[in-house]
Amino acid sequence: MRQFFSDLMHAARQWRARPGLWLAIVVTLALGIGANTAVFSVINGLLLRPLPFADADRLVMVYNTYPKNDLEFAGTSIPDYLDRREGAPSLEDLAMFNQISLNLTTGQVPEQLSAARVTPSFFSVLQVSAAYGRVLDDADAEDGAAPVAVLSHGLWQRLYGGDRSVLGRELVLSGRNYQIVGVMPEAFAFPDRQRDLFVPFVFTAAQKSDEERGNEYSMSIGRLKPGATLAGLNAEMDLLVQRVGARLPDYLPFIESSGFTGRAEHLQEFFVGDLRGLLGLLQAATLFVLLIAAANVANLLLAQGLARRREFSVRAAMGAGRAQLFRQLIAESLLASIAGAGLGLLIAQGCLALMDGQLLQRMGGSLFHTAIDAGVLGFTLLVSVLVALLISILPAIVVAGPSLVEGLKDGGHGTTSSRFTRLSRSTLVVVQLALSVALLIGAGLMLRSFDRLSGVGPGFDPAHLYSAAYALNGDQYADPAARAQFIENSLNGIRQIPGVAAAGMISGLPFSPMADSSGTFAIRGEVYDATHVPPHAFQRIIDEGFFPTSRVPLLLGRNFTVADSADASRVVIIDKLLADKHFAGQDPLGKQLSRGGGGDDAQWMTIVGVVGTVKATELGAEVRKETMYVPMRQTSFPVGSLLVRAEMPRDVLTTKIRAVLKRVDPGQPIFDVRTMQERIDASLGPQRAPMQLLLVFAGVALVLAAVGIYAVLAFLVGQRAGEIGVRMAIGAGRGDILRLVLRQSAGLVGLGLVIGVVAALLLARVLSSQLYGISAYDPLTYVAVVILLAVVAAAASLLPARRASHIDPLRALRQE
Amino acid sequence: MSSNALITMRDIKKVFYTDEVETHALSGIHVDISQGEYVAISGPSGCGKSTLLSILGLLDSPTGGEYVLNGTPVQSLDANQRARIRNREIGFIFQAFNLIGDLSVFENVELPLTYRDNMNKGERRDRAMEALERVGMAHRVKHFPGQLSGGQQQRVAVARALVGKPSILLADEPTGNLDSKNGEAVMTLLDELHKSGSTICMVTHDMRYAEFAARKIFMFDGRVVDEETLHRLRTEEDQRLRQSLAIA
Ligand SMILES: Nc1ncnc2c1ncn2[C@@H]1O[C@H](COP(=O)(O)OP(=O)(O)O)[C@@H](O)[C@H]1O
Ligand SMILES: [Mg+2]
Repeated sequence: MRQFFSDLMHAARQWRARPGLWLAIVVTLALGIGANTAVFSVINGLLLRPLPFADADRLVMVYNTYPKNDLEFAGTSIPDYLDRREGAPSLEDLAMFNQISLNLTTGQVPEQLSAARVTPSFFSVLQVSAAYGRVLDDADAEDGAAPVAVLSHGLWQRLYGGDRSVLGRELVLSGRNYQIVGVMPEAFAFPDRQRDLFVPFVFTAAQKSDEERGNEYSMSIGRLKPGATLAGLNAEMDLLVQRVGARLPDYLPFIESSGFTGRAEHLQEFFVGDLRGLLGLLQAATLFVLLIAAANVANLLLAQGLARRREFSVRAAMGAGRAQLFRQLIAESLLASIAGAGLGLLIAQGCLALMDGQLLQRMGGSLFHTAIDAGVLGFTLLVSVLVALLISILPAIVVAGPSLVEGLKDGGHGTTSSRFTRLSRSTLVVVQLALSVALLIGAGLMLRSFDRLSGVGPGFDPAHLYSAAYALNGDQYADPAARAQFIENSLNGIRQIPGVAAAGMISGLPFSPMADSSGTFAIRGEVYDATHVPPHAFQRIIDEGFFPTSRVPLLLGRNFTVADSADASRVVIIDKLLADKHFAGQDPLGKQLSRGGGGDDAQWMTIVGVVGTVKATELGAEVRKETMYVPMRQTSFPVGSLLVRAEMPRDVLTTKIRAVLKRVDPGQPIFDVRTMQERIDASLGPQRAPMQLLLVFAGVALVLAAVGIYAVLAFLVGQRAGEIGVRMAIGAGRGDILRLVLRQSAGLVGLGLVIGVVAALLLARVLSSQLYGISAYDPLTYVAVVILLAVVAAAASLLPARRASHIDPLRALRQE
Repeated sequence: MSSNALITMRDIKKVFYTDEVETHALSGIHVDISQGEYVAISGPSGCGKSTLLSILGLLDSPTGGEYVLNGTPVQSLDANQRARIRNREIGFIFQAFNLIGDLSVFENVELPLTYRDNMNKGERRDRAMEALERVGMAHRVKHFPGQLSGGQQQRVAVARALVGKPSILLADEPTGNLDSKNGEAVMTLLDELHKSGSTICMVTHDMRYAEFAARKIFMFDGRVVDEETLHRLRTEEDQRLRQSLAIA
């Protein structure tokens, strides 16, 4: 150990002797190690580190699924929740929650608070208690209990400046008095950090009845008993669904045709499981970068090793054993790679700053964080030790190899070790190029895929299209006519704002949290029975301004008008997908649909128009679920969005809209003002950040490969200077020498390119699942990458080649 | 100046500037070499023989003076033009042989021809084999330089110098790296070449080998001198040296 320490001291002296070389080595390693650390800390933060709850590995999301209806994920209804809470022995506890908006009118501007409506079991499932006061208890959720609220730490600070005497005080929200009973800890953030407060989820008797089945607007989270498994819980939920089917014969056909059942997934997997593939890919990419960096460093050390053969020969002559020489080399490499790791940690921090903003956005940035913790540090240390060993191997063979005495005999010209050095350096360049080609092809494919994805039209024109959410849940809006009046007055006012081109409303705005509101519908004339169940569609409530504002094209028939009022005959507009699915080869206009199952009480709506299909949640996925639009004067829902097409800054528009709304209803807030493009971009966020990183890594790889080619050719030219002098003496022109060196480079580069392309073709299958709209064998990408690398390699070769062509032919005379 | 002059040098000067020191390696050299001549240049070490040869061979340009090769003034050509003339007019034989280790004997000899435009492979092969036969190395075409003795390597180097049918062969201490037996064999080879019509200019400090040449040029301190002057200057210098030693 003491010996090794003195080796390290000696290594440090080596650095002082050649600071430039060692700086280059440290920086190169830092790039490779830093990239790996960054990606690993994301993997660690998202996939490896437990969520911030006690025994978090026992927490499961519980949801309904309708696999035969192409609906993998749905919320849960109150009766489902009750069934499972009672009848699933694998569950220690189960909670249900959803989101409601509550209006706070005490301040200057009416404000929209976002509340989590939770069953009291929410807190016991998560095993959290209040920082001050208490959490909700079962009595709070009794039908008819006085309203109470638990504040988030953030809201408590914001409204009350952290005053603990708020406990017991009343807070007026959307016209109701809530008594404040507790404040949550600062660290608590579930389902995300946007929840301002927690109010009890009260079930009425009607809500507990079978009538409520299918109303899946809530989410469930459960805690498994110790030792219970997901498979066990899933089997129990299958059984529960079967029992419901047996008890409700009317419901059974639907259960069977839709494949309805309950499913559970570990909480962590539920949130980030789909990123596993992408992150794995990213880690592989950084591994490539690290190997390329290591090849560069090994290259530098090889050249250095050749120069140091004399030093090592002298050491050997003085009795140093081979093991001691190896140890000396490893000490040097280790010092370099540890220093590289230190710098790499800073680089990783930079990468993480880039990732955090985007990748974690959809998780509310709360449940996960991607800090560099002890686990990441351990990983980084391990990587740097492995790298140190890797980069020591070749120089070790050169300086302490079999023919140690050679170093004493001559300057190393034409000896086996210089041949070995030449061969290994050329091999390193080929390997490095092959890795770069494979990495760049992968990155290129991902980039093109992402480009395709972002370029996919959502079915409407998102440019300059603003949306602002509202929630009309005060008592004065209990009447649908009052809601319609509010919307009409607001939109009329907004349309008067100079610069506003169009305005409309929609409930269930695409790319918003409400985008997947859907339900069953019936087609008049169809008979629904055990084998033929009603279809499912996105259901949107709109005004006559929605299509013109969003520019969803009207393909057939007409748009809604103000004449489609509550007294007029009921109408509906369908999208092209619904028309194609259900009215193929027929004229859909005049056909009738109803919401729900089409029973005796069905309210039939006549199809008056067909519009283009719109992407609602994911740009990259094929739209598989049809959409029906109903007019706001005939169907009402308290929550929706105003859509405004205007070319002006958000702040200006927001202020102007607020001014309009103040005239319509001073107590009514709007919130979540964003352009549709922002919403779409946010939905791409989890892909964008890794994409950007991948591009950075590909760029680093390209630079490293260029440096590698340059270094090796410069070395080879140096070694061949005498030969080149002779060639010039016997009449080779500058062009001849330039060609000679470029041909040598072309040989190495060509080999590297071929191996790289073959490797990329072999790896393409792995990539396929991450690509959208592009083949993993896309020829354009392969050709472009090969050309790019060939050009870069040529550029990197040019300098050494030019230097070679300026060698003085007089060298030939001076060689003795 | 004779009518069949191959080389005419007038007042050739060469000054090296290094670290603010001026070295006058050549101070006004006049030399004429005619077609078919065999010239030996000798003189003490450092007198400028190699410098003169490198200018003769267009490896370097003079600082001043005129140099006409085969009727063409060549003192101020650029690097590429000089390379082309070297390739056609000059054949070099070096003290250290300077064969290229990665190339076979045949490829080494063929090399100068590969730097010519419009010479096809068959022609190159014939010329290379012809040159190798003239030096008696045709049986070693597939060998690599590392597998040959020093004498054999120098014969191959001579073949490489001959292959382009140059106007003149330039040799700088061609025997310097050889034992006397191999050295004599190379000298005999050059003599044969001269007899069959080659023009040769050889640098040597070994007077035994200078005797092979029909004409001898003596140099001292960057100038051409006659043999007696060289002798006198050398004696004077010896005395100076002895005196300075005696004083010390
Ligand atoms: N490239 C050079 N730079 C500086 N001085 C040089 C250079 N080449 C030769 N000289 C000097 O020029 C003089 C003549 O050298 P050279 O022609 O090699 O002598 P010779 O071949 O007769 O031994 C010497 O003093 C030598 O040091
Ligand atoms: Mg000399």
